[in-house]
Amino acid sequence: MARGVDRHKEAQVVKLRHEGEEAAASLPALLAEAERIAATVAQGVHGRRRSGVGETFWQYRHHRPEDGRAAIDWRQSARSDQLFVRQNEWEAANTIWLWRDGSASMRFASSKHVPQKADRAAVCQIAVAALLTQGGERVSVLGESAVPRTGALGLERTSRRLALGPGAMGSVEAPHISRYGRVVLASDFLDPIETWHARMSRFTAQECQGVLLRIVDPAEEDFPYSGRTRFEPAEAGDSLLFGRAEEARKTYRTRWREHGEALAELARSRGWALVTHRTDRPATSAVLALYRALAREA
Amino acid sequence: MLSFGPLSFAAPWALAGLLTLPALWLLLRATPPAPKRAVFPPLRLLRDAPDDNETPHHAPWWLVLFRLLIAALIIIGLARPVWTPPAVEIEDRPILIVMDNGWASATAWSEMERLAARLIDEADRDGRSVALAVTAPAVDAPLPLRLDSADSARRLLSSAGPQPWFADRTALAERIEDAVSGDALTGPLAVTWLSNGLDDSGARDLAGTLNDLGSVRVIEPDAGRAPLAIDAPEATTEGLRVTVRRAAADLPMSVDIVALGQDGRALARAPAIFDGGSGTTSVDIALPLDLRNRIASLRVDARPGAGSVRLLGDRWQRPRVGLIEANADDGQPLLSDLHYVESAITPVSVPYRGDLDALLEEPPAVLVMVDDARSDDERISDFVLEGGLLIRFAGPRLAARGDDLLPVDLRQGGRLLGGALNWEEPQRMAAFGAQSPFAGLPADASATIDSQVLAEPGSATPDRVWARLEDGTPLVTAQRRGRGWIVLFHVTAGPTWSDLPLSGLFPRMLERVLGLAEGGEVSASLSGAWSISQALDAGGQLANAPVSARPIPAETFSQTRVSPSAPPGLYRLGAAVQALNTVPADFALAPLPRDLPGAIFAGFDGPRPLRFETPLLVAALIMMILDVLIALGLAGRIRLPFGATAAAGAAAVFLMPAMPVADAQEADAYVLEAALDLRFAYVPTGDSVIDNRSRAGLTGLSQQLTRRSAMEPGTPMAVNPETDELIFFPMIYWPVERDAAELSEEAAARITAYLQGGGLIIFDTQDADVAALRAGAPHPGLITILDSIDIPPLAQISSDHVLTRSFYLLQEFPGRFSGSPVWVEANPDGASRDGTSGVIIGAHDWASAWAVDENGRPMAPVDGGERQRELAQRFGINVAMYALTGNYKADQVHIPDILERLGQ
Repeated sequence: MARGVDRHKEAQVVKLRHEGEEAAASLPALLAEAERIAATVAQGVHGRRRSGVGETFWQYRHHRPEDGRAAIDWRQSARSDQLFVRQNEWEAANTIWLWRDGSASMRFASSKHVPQKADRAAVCQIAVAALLTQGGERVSVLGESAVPRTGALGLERTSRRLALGPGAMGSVEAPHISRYGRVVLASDFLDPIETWHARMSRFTAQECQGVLLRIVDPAEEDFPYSGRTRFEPAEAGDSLLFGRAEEARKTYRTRWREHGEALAELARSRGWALVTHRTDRPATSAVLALYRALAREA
Repeated sequence: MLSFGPLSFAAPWALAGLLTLPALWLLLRATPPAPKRAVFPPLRLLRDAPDDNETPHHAPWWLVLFRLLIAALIIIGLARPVWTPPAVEIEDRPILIVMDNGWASATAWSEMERLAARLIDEADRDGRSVALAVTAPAVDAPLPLRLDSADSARRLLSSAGPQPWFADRTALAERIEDAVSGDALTGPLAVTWLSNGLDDSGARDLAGTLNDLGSVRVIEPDAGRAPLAIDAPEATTEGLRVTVRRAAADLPMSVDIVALGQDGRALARAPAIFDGGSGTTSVDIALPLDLRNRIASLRVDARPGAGSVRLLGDRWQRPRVGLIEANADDGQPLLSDLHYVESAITPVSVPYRGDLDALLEEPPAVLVMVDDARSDDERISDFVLEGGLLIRFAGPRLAARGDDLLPVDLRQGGRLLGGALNWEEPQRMAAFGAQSPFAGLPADASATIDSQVLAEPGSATPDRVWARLEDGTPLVTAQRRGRGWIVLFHVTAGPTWSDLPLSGLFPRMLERVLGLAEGGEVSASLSGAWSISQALDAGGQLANAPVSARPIPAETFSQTRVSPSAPPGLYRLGAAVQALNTVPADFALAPLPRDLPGAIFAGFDGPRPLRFETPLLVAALIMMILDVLIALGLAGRIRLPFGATAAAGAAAVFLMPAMPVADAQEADAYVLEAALDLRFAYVPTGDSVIDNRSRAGLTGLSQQLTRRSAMEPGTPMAVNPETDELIFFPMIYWPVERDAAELSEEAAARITAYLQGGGLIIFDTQDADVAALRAGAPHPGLITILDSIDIPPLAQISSDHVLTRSFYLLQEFPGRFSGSPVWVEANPDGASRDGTSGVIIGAHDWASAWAVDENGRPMAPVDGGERQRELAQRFGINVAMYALTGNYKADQVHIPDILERLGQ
């Protein structure tokens, strides 16, 4: 019996990963970008081959009037007649932390024709992970693996965790993450904005930047229900009976829009990007937006 | 019974239920359908949204109406409505059904049974009692006749069936009279007589008796089911003549007569056609004697029934031939006349030798008298008069003196031809005249006649002369005498006078003559009894004898008529087998007279009361099922095929069959798909295996072309020449099945236009493996298709045909099979297509050799292995090139190169 479950899970991983790589593969432009990044990026916490904030010596350059007196490296300048400024290499943490919400509400699909939100989130993230590993970056699943990995094997492990991992909310609320990390959080963000505010502040404290990938089921946005309808929550809880669901539509849509705006505002205030993706659209569009957001950030 | 005009209700109180409908309306309106259930994660956002939850929720009006309609249908159905057309009289008398179930009813029985069952059902519905009587004597004693419930009448009906003997209407009339006098039957009754349409001695009695009980309705079988009787066949020289009888009717009719052998095989079949108004017809069946000997029965095809069968017994088996032993025995049996006759007769019959006394004890069908055995015994003359066949041969004795048993008068002395002292050459035989029984046999040119007896010119009338010499003198003469024949060969039976007995013609002539014989008379003695071995059942099949069968004393056998104790069939006494047939010889069938006392001849299908409680209830049931579906659909449990809105749902239920199809758009799509890319096409046959193979074959060929040449065809398409335009395709592959349907005129015109316009069609019969079994006959499906297309003369692909070098150099054109010829137009230069053939016709099943599956692997094995598959692909590529480039490769420019490559 246990073997049967394993096999099923295995099939699930393979399917999602296949979809994810497919979504990634159909983005030749992105691939080109990935190549470009790969050409300039070394592995791990690495110099960016330009001067910037860091601890490793990068170069000396001639002092310019705007540099001010304190910037002069006197030791070097003493060896010649000219004034030099010491620059350090800009170092950045290039691990990308992925997290996919595994809560019950993510296990929702309004019809047979759209995937569950969790699956779509996993597909998008696997696609991004594939692109990132191609570019030499390291990826890790937040709360489920401490060691960032890269290469085909790393992608394999990451994909498995994204597809099957619990996606516990605890990983977000108490993230084990190094400073300046980059984060991709995929969820439906249905919890109240205040809750997310609190969660995000932890990342801000670590000076992490990232992207919020908001997965939306078409039914959640359009509210196509009408007539006598009993709405049940995805988690345990009370249900709501509406005699005429269409009458609630307007109110619901207003609230939904407000929620979305609040979320966007939250992201903007923290310097994060928000990517909203409907599950009835192809995953590629989400991957494209995600990657752009990550590339811009870098 | 409540009635509104012609509409009445058998249970009117049920209509009171209609009063409850308004209450039902309120009830149904107040009961809302179960809510749909939906899981909705952002439930938090939905809390406290406005809703008129408190107002009572209504079922949609159309659903309420639908449910009320169901209720109304059920109520009306339970009230048992009856629609009585004004013309129908309400029958309330008990009914008496009389059914003819003799042999003559066998064909019409199922119809009669159906009518009787309908009558019984009607009586049952009205609670009337029923009596059922049948006319044919049964094996068991009949049950007493009385009015009883419909159920017992049904039991009687199911146990009644047609019998292979005659109906006895007089006996039934007596039984009915007995029943009336015993008060088991009391009038007035509604009497229906389901008759077989034939008159007999009892018809008038029965009609009279029935008329005393009430009005009599007589129903006759329709012309197609009227009884037929086969008479005893009559022998002719060619075969036999069969007479079929029917009760004379105005309509002409055609039936098939089949002669069946002992093993049930059909030996011959001939159509017999009744003219309008005629009650009898004859048909001649031509059969060689040895086949005729094997006939066991004659039947009217597709007409089950004992009367339509004529069993032949052994009377028709191999006629027994008696050879009268010669008086003078010269001690050289192998040179005697009798030896030649016996040898000639043995293959087709059973010759017995013996002196006259011994032979006549068991009279044979044929007596052969050679010159040495001549006798003018009176018994021979009697034998002929009673139907025997006497074959005589001339000789010195007959030449010296004639006698009475001769077809013609003879001149004394005879005639000598040839020889040392004679100027005349030996004569040869002339060709047989068209009237002669020997017509059609080739006269043997090598047989010469040296001597013969000569007929007196006056007596040898042309009808008596069956064969002549070249100079016109008769060689074989014959005369009908009494019921028999006398046939005289004017030469000896041995080779003394002529070469005829040495030729192959002699036994064939004798065989023709023996065809006149009627077979041996039944030779068993008159003592003993015939006992039945196989009985004929009412359906005309041989079966085990019924228990009622009794042996028939031999002396009365010929007078016996069939009855339960003497059922028709094959009877055996010792080794002899004799047939007792249902219908005696020369039995005329007469239609039932129209002036039977009190009888009304009526059709059955008049207006009848219509009862429609069942359709109403069934409709209600179907609507209830629909209602469940609708309820489930409203509750979101199932997804209805039609839209979510109520009106659309209701409309779709009624309008579903009338969905308009966007024909024009479809046609446009087809044209675009076919024209925007280079594609091959195949013609679907309707057999999915063949069609898939054709598609896969063209797919494989397209792949190979893409790989090896500059041509990159798209996915192949199926085209139906009956409906689709063909002009877009350079090449069409057409697998031809044996039972291919004929093309419509439109399709044929389209194909011809396609060929004229430069198209190429590959007709593939795909049967090279079994083509040899056709033995040179053309493929039937191909014939059907090519018949309607204008195809010029064909020839096999010559060794310098463009197809052999349009891409690859090829000299064979295999597919899955190889070796059978491949045909193209013989002289394409004459065509307007620049010298290219429009058709390629073969049987190699190329599609199988080309076919690949989705993964590009070959789908079907090929006879000659991979090499042959490669050659098949090359041929396909050549054909495709040919289709696109036409005669380009016929250009002389390439000849030197090709010669150079061929040179090694």
